Amino acid sequence: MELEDVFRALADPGRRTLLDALRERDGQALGELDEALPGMTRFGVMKHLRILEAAGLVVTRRDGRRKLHFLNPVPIQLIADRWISRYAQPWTTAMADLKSALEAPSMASPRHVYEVYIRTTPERLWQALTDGDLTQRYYHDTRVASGWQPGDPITYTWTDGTVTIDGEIVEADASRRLVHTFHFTQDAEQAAERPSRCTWEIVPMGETCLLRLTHDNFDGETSTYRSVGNVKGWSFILSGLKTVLETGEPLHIQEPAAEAVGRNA
Amino acid sequence: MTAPQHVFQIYVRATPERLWQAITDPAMTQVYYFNSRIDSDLAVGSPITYKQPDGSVDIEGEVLEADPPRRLVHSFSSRWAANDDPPTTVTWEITPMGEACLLSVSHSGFPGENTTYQSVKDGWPMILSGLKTLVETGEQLKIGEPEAAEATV
Repeated sequence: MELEDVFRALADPGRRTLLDALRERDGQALGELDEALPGMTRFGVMKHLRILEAAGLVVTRRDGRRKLHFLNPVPIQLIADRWISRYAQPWTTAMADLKSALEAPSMASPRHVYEVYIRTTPERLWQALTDGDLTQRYYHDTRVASGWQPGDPITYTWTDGTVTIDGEIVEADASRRLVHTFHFTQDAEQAAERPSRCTWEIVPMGETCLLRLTHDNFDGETSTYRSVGNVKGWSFILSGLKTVLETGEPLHIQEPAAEAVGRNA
Repeated sequence: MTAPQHVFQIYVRATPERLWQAITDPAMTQVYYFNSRIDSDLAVGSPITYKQPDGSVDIEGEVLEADPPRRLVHSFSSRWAANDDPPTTVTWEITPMGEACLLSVSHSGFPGENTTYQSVKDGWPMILSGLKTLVETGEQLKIGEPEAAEATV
């Protein structure tokens, strides 16, 4: 890596916007990143990403067929060491961006990613995610309700009317993609935490669909993060969803003695 | 930094014995494990291989622990593509939970995010989804090619 390349990569405001977008949320695909630069073609965004990658500021990893982009703050640290701490100059706007990038949790930010393949159509899967009669059969007995427009509230409610999860719709593209914030209300510690985010993606693959759930935007390994990751969390919900869609019957489980499952928790 | 590993958990409506059979019976693995047939006597220290029906070897390893119908641990060296990655460890654990079982698969021992780590990352969810479909419905889960609409993302 040449520092020349890094400086050159950082000289462009569009590329700095892309770095900011990755600082905001690491691990994005091209299709998500091009939303950060609405005035630019996808080809233009690809070109900028290639320059950032060549400079070592962005690293990529394949996730299935998607190429995910991650911020790499190391070259910026080198610049900071060489050109900022030594001269203690006032920070330029560009350098202020860099400092934020350095302080970002970037790759360390925890997330859960689940993938499950279900024999169903995208439409039927979408219905299973958005119809309260169906969520009740696999989602801890809760009914989902929402107007499904960005900004609308989304709630998961027990039959007695208790709201267990509340959030807001961020994106809803029927049969393809649902993004909403997630805030669990039935636990004091989790209720006090900032809402996290769930992204449901449906990829049709012949007679089967891949359902990918990414739960991220946690402030570290919070109580919510740990709770949804345990054996009664997403693994259970997604297994139940698959069973309901493929067999028509809900999946019932009974908790074993605590020590038997402790190893898996 | 902790060594990378994969942990997958899925609930399957089945008895532990049925699930154990699904994991260890070559006629069943062929349905959901990328067409591969398991071959092992499951005695500790014995070889364990996964082979295509034409005999070509996908995975080689050794049985490290076998406690039917609860726990199977074996080493894992991928042979489906050339690599110099060291052997890793796969642990299958079955926990009965009423009419269903929790099946937990952990794949560990990677020295880093090497070729094997990357390539099994997408594979395990397919295998476990297919295993669940087979055991719960008696049918094969056929996973096709992704539709073109998303391929450019």
